[in-house]
This record gives sequence, C-alpha cells and structure tokens, in this order.
Amino acid sequence: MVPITTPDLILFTIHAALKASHSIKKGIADGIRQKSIVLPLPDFDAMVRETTIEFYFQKEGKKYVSQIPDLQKLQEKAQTSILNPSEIKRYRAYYNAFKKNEFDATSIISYFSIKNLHREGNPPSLLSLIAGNLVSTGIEFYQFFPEKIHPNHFTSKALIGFMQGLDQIPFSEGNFDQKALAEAFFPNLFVGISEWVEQSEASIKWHPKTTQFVQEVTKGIGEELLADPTSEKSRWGPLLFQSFLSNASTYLQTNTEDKLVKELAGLTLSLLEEKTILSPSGLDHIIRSTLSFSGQVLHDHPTVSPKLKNWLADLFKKLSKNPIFHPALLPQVIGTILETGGTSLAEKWKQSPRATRDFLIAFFESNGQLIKNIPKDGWPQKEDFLKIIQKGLLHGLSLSSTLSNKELTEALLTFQNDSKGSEASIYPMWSISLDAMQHYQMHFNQAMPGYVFQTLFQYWLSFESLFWVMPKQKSKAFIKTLCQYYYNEIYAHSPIEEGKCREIMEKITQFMLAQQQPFTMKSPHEIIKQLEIQ
Amino acid sequence: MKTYTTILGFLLLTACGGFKELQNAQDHFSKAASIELQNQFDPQNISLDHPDNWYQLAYSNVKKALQNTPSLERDSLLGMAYSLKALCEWKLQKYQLAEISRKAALNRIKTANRNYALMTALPDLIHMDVTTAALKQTFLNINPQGEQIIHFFQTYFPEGKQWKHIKNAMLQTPDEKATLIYLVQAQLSGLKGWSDALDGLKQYMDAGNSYPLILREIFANQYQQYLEEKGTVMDFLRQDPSLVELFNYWNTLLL
Repeated sequence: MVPITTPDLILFTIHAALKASHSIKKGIADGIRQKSIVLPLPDFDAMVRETTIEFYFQKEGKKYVSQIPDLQKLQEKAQTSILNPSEIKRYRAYYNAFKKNEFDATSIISYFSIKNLHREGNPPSLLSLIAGNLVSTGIEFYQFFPEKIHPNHFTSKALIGFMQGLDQIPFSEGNFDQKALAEAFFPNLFVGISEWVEQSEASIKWHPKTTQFVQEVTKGIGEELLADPTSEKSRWGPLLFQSFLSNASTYLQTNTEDKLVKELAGLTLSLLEEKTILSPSGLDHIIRSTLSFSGQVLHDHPTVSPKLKNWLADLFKKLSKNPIFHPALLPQVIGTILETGGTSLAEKWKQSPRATRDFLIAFFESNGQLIKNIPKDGWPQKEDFLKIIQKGLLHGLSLSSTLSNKELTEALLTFQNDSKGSEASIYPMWSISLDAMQHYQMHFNQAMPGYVFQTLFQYWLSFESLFWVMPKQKSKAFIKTLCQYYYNEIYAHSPIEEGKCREIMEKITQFMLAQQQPFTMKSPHEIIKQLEIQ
Repeated sequence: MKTYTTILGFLLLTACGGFKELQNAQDHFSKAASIELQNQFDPQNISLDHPDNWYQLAYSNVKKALQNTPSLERDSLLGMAYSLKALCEWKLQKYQLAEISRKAALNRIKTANRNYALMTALPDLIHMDVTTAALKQTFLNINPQGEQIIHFFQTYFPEGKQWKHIKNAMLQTPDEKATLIYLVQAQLSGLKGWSDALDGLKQYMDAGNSYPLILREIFANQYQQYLEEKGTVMDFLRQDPSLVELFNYWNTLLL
C-alpha cells in the first residue's frame, strides 16, 4: 500500500471515506425506514358486556333460550333489570358456549406488525427485515478492515452468498417469535461467517460455486430455524454454518447440484430435534461425511437429491432411536458409516436406497449384542468402537455384493435374535468378537491396563481375513487359545510396561497367523517356547 | 490504509449515532406494543412486563435520536423519528406533545406510507383513549347521573362525526393493506368503547333509576348510528376470507 504523503492523496482518501460512509449510512437509513414496527391499538376493554349477550340471545341465539330454562330466566331478567354477579357469570358461560368464538390471540396479534413501505409482489424477506441490523453489525466488524468487503475478497463473496440466501427465505412478518429470533440470530451468523473467514483465510480454497453453496446453506438453516423459532437450534446455527463452510470443498469437488446443500443444512439442524447430544466435533463429522457421501451419490445422479435427503433423514431418525447407541456417540457413528461406506455404500444406494437403509439398520442391530457386552468402565474407547464399525461395515458391504439384499438383511436380523446361532457365521467378525469379549472378561480382570485391551483389539482386527473363511467352532477355539497365550505371557511378565506388552502380543499374533492351523496345538507353553519370548 | 480506515471509522461512528437510537426506539416501541396487544387480546395471560416501561424507553431513545436532527434530515429519517415520537407520546398520554410531534412528522413525510397514515389518524386514536377514560369515569361511578351520561354521549359520540381522521387516512393509503387493516382495527377498538357506553346506558336504565326520558331516545339514536358504523367496518373484514379470525373476534365482542 502506497503511504499517503501528498495533499492529493489525502484528499482522495477523505473523499473515498466519505463516499463509503455515505453508502453505508444510506443502507442503515433504508433499513430503519422500511423496518416493520408493531402498532398498538387504542385502549379498549376486551370483556363482553351484558347487553351484547342479551342482544345475541334476542336474535341469533334465540333458539337456545327456549331449550334451557336457566338461560330463559336470565334472559328475561336481563331485558328488564340488571343481573347479580353470579347470574352474570352463568350468562357469560352460555354466551361463550353458543357464540362461535374461533380465533387465536397470537394469530390476531400478527396483524399489527406493519412495514413502512411494502414491496409489491414479492413476500418480505428476512434480508429486508434485518438489513439495518446487518449493516450496523458489518460496520462494527469491518470498520477497520474495509479491504475485506471488496467484491473480489472471499469474505465479501461469503457474505454475498449469505445475504442472497436470506433474501430468499420467506417468513411471517407478524410472527413475533420468528422476528425476534431472526433479529438476534442472523446478525450473529453474519459475525460467525466473518470470524470464520478471518480465522481460516490462509487455508480456504475458494471454489467458483462457493457463493451459491453459502447461499443454500443459509436458506437451509434459516428455513429450519424459523419453522421452530422457539427451539434451541439457534445456539447451533453459527457452529453449523462454520462447519458447512469448512467442509464445502468436500462437496463442491464432486457435486453437480446445489439444492441438496440447503436440504442437508436443514436436515442437520433438525437432528437437534431428536435431542441428540451433539458436540462440535460430532456435528462437524456429520456434515463432512454427509456432504462427502451426497457428493458421491449425486455425481452420477444429480436429480435424486430429494430422495437422498429423505433417506438420510430416515436413517438418522432410525439410528437415533436405536437404544444401543449412547446419544453422544450417534453423530460420529453416522459420520463413520457414511465415510467408511464411501463409494461402495454410494453404489449400493444407487441400486436400492431402501435395501441400503435396511442393511445399515440391520447391521447396527446385529451389533447390539456385541456392544452390550462391552465393559462400561472404559474399553473400548470411542475410537476403538468406531474402528469396529468401520471394519464391520466394510465386511458387510463386501458380503452384500454376493448376497441379495434380502438374504443379507435376513441373515443379519437372525444374528440379532441369536448371536450364537449358526447363521451368525455369515458375519464372523462380529460373532467372534462377541466370543472374544467373553474370553477376555473371563481371563483378564479389570485391573488390566487399558492399553492391553487396546492392543488386543488392534491385533484382533488382523485376524479378520482368517475368520472370514474359518468355521465358527474353529474360530472360537482359535480365540480361546490365543487368549490363553496372551494371558499367560502378559501375566508371566507382570508388571509389564506397555512397549513390552505390545511386543509380546505382536509376536504371538504373527505366529498364530503363520501357523494357519493353530487349533491343533495342545499346549500354550509349547508355542511360547517356540516363540522364544523372554 | 490505516489513515483511510481511521477516517471511515470516525465518520461512521459520528454519523450513525442517531440511527442506533432510532433503531432502538423502533425495537422498544414494538416490544411495548406487543405486550400491550397480548394483554388486550389474550387477557387470560397478562404479561408481568408493563408496556409503559418500554414505551418510556422508546421515547427516551427517539428523543436522543432527535438531538441529531440534521443527520436524520439528510437521510430522510426525520419524519420517521417524529412519527415515532408522536406515537410514544400518545401511548404515554402526553397528548399535547403528540400533536406537536404529529405535525412535525407530517411536514417531513413525503409519501403516503404507513407513517403518513398513522400521523393522519392519530387525533382519532388519541380521542379513543380519552373516550375510554371518560367512559370508565362516567359508568364506573356508583351513582352516575343522567346528565353526566347525556354529556358523555354528546361530547364523545357526537352525531355523524366519528373518526374522520382515520377515514381520511384510509383514503390516502388505499394500497397499503396492512395499514388499512390496522386502521380498521383501530375503528373497531373505538366501536368497542361505543358498545360499552351503550351497555352502560342500558344498564343504568334497567337498574330502576329514575332518569330523564331523553336517555331512551339517546340510546335508540346512538345504537342506530353505532350499527351503521359497525356494519361498514365489519364489512371490510367480512369481504376478505383471510381476515376471518379478526371478524370472529370483534363479532364476539361487539354489541
């Protein structure tokens, strides 16, 4: 930047500043001029008077009078004298019962929020409602960084997308909850975007469609939020928005249609209705994986977005109601499914969304038995659990390529009903894992360091290809033997430090895999001897 | 750049001070009105928050905004500011000040918009409040005198002269539906006062008091005029299916 050193430049700077100041001021002034205000009525008493009731029963409500002796008596008295308080009470009750009184106070009050000027034709938008707030917020935020609101700066592009999105959100001007929320929420969102861009400036790769992406996300969040303006979703809005922006490139690289983004933004926000306990990382995981998965599905089938959105909503809903998941884990489970499944899942979805959903549901229900057996005091950690899901899902998907969806679903559901039944062998990883858990629990007490379990599990996954072709009974024998080896060796060296433990287990595992037929070995000590573990 | 931004920041901070006060005044006024409407239309759920506190706050905001009159004038916001001031003064029962502000607003509003209609109608809105206060004073009196009642009707419901300001405002804003609906409802509020006054008169006569015979005549005449006025206003609601709730509400309440 050239330093200001000459009178001309100084004058130019002042002129430019005045011009900018004028434009911004004009924006605020327009916002104020057009803003709706609620107009009060003159004072009036909302109580129905006796004469009103009397005249009603003289004319429209005459037919009721002859049917009810008490009312008849009251009506006769009201016409010639005044009623006592008890009679007035009954008289009003009859009126309220017979006179159609169909109105809703909240709805009526909505008629009193009135703009100073109306745009012909178009319904009012959120943007027009909160333009003044946005401008004043923008001034506060950017008054010392005006270069960021240059049209070519991506801050400016993000904000344009945001405001274009706002401009397309219809809303009821008279709904005070919506108005209050909008006026409080969207300027905050504006600040949220600005802060995010500022923090991520160095790492952002601006895609030509990003402005539209931001626009659709804004619409999705805005519409979902305003549909239920009293909810706590507003707390999540800025975070959700930032997460979408952060993961935009995941989607933009593959997708050919943008409207789904809006649906996904709304859908993600609606997950909060399920009372899911979301953490920022969980939310981010869902968004990243959903965008990635949707991008893959839509890459070849750009027109299926409504179907996909409904599918995701259905899946989220069903999984969130599954009692085997701790709610705090659900977002990451969903994220893991969609990320791990990747192309295979997307392909499967393209063939049959319904069967894919059924497969996933059955997959998780079948794992319920395993999860129930996991000790509550620490293992497996969340990461281990997600690894189980990843591995299992990949196997499930590979199986599903050879079995029909119906066969697979039936098999998995059978496994759910009887996890030790012969049908369970169709899904050996999980069946055997269940057995393994039982063995571990028998052999290792809870004083066993956590890393032993983690290491066990890590190596356990190495066996999956072996288990895959192994009859169930042999698998169980294998597990039993292996567990004994681990148990004997680890305790033989107890106390043992972590590195040594891992080393021992790795050797045993490799040896077992190399043997191919470990089931014939009768003595663990014999193997240990061969391994020469010292 | 630093110089530029400093200048810009300075200009904005100094120039927009009045705007912020005006925005606050709008928000506080809306808040007050919302509470008041809630109390009027849903008396079972009276708010503990008193609308006058918010009207007072809005009034204070708009007076501060008006300390920066040249800036408001340059941005054509002076009419808005005076309108809001007049509305606050109406609700805070500072009727004489409201009239001064109203005239100031009308002098500066250049188009027939919501504010213009409101300022045109304001004398009637104020008159309705004054009428309601007088109504309570006249009929809540334990032993109202016939002369007092006669005086009340002659003063507040003179024959053929109801709400000319509101009607004038409606003629000037024929395309502003939301504003028209508001003005119709303002008339209905006034009609409710009239309806209550007729009820008070009838109750007075039915109570067995000895009263001047002219009261019967007053009742008959006033009731007839009331029905004509009510018919016109209710027709406005009846003709628009989207206003059925409003129609039902007032139809239940009015004589």
